[in-house]
Amino acid sequence: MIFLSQYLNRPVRGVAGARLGVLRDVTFTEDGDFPVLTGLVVSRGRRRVVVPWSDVDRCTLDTFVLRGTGPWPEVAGVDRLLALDVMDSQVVDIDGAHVVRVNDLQLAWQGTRLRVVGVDIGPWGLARRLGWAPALAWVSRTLRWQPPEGLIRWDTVEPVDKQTSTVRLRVSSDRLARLHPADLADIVAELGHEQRSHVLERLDDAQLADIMEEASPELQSAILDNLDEDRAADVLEEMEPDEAADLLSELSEDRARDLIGRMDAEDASDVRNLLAYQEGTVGALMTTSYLEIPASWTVGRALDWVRREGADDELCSYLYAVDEAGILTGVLSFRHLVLATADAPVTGLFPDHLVTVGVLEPARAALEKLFHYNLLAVPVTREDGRLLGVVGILDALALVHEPEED
Amino acid sequence: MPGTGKLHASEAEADALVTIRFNKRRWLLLLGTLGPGILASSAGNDAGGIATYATAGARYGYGLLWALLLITVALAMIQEMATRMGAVTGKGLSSLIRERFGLRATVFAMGCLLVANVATTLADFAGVAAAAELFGVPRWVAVPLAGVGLWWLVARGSFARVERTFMALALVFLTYVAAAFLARPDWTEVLRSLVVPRVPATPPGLAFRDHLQGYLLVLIATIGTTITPWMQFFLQATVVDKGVTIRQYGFARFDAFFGAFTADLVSFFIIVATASALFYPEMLPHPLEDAAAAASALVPVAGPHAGWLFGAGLLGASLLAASVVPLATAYAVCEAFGFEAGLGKDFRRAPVFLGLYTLLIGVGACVAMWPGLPLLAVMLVAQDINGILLPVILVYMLGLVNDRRLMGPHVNGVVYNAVVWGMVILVSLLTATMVVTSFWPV
Repeated sequence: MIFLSQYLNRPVRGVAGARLGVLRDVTFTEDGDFPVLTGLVVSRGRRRVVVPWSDVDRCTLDTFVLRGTGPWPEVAGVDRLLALDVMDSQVVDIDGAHVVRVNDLQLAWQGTRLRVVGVDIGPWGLARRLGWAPALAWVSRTLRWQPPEGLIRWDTVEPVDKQTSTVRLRVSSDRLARLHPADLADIVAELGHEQRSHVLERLDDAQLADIMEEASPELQSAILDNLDEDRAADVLEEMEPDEAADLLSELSEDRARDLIGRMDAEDASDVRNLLAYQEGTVGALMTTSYLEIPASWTVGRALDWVRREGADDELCSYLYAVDEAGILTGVLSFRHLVLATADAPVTGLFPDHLVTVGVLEPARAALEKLFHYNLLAVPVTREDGRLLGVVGILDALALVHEPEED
Repeated sequence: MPGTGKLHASEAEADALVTIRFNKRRWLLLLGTLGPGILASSAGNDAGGIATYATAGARYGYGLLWALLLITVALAMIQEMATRMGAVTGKGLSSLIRERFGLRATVFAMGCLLVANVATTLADFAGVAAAAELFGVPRWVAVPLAGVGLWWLVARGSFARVERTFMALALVFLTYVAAAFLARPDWTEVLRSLVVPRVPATPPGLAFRDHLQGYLLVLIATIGTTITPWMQFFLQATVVDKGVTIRQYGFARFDAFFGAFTADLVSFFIIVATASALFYPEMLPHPLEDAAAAASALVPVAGPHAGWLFGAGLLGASLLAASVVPLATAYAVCEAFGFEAGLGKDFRRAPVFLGLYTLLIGVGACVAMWPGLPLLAVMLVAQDINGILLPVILVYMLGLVNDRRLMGPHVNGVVYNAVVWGMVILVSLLTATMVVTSFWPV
């Protein structure tokens, strides 16, 4: 296996064996999945020159052999430098779904070119660069302990630029999109502000909204600070209204009002209404994203409507039937809907006992009803019986499992 | 009409209610951002801190108060730097050092941090031993118990609640404030000592070299215990964890300054109280022999119970620091080298993290239970090691905080750079003087 650290700070030689300078870095360019080396950065006296790949004759176990003696151009600001910009930076390990640090880079020959094929994130990479590899090998032998290898393929990582780098690495957002939003939220939490905004820029509003819903309040507010106000409002629109309301309630009032003002009218009024309920009430816990149909429909029409409209809603364990005044008259489970004949009226499927919880009751009341009646979601009503929202079991469970303070 | 559910409350009604839900939250926001600085500074008043301030008061009276004032200004600025770096970059100090200065420089920085923190942990277990002996419990019983207990608490991840108990115990040291007032010191003299730098004259019967070295030892320890290297890593990490950004920076900066000044106010009263109780200008400067002597400064408040009161405070402060310092070390090192870290992970998943944590507690506890170990001397010397290594960490911090690529417009101003570089040079000179003079013939 070839590693970049084997060659760094070692002499490079001419064909006749004369020492031409010391290798300080290599330049590279993106080319398919694995970047290809395009030149060597060699220090000759006080100058640092870039030797193009065409002048590289071969490479031995510890040195590069160059053809010719130049003259070669000095390093320019646009050159992408593998050691300077990528070594010691962070990368996202897509398969492992976490952020790791680059200790060394693995290279491999393809024809006459060297490509970057892997990232060493393990102790061997550290030891090799510090010249402590023999010591680590000794420890490993004596203790009969195998240090983790820590090699990951280049095409399964997503580079994260160093804050001090002037060049940005090409990055493909589809690798990040392969991650579950919950994992992506953990990864975003580990990045610095600038790297975070580089990653966030490449995600669309819906992806960002998914991450926000999975993120801790601290991370949510940090992400929001990274976005400009219009984008922040767009992301809030994509979020479930109850999640968006909880997030807004963590902000200063002026900021929250400003963001709500930038959201489109319908989402804004949802969020504003949810914010009206005080912390600890059912109203502050419920979501307004649920499936609601008129009680006059038939089973067939209801199912038909769900097929067309029901994809986006957070809670779709049940359908809620309301009369013309918006008063909740019945709850339908999908099992009952599917088992019933298409032309039967939905009213025939209503349970005898309608379980609801009042919007101003303490949030625990919703939890107790869910457990007591073995429900996945409980509808929330006003005193006059009008349906206002739904509390799902997952949101209610957050009451039982309050995250431990640290 | 079918569709997703909508609410129909009037908007005016809603607006009135919204105000209520926000106002409650704003306090939480303030409290959330407040904290890291205060916690970091007060963790500086650990066993080593108490020992150092008490020694300073007992040996030199008010003779080090002027230094404390300057150190406080520097502490406030350095803590603000760490907070600012955390808020601007969103990254920990180790991460920034690794990315900016490369692997070798990182190994050096982490080596220094490790040495300083092993010393600090040892000092804190020495504090546990000293506190236990005030209660009549032998150190070889108390120290292993504390070591195993702390290790187990953290490994199990049920640390948060206990942390608060330790902090509450450490509040005992606020009684020094009362003790200082009850001792009726000459306040004009105290204030003059605070602003007029004076090095105490060589007492008769003591060689100048020995006097100078003794004074330098306590001075460097005072610097090292007030501005500790580990605290900067811890503070910046906490700022990042809390998700503080430059937008909410006002609170965080206030916290950094406020924390520095309140913590050093306690230090100030410790020095005044011990100076009033134990310093006799006509006597040779005497080392503070043991914790009982330091506790005697609390006699004006607690009377015959001074020893117990002091012991409880020392125990709380020691246990708090003895768990936080190894933890902060393990986090910093793992962040620098990219090893898996985190509470509640087992040895298989986070071997380096738990290994380092265990090593620090193990070394600290094993050395501290050594019979006959001079506990107060150990606490003092540990602070000296911190002081001597402080310039290294400060140079890294200055390099980072003045890098425009990292900090953009938030780089240090001239005054900051002057003060912090001044601190670096001062401590280096003091250390050099101490080393050079030790070769002088008496």
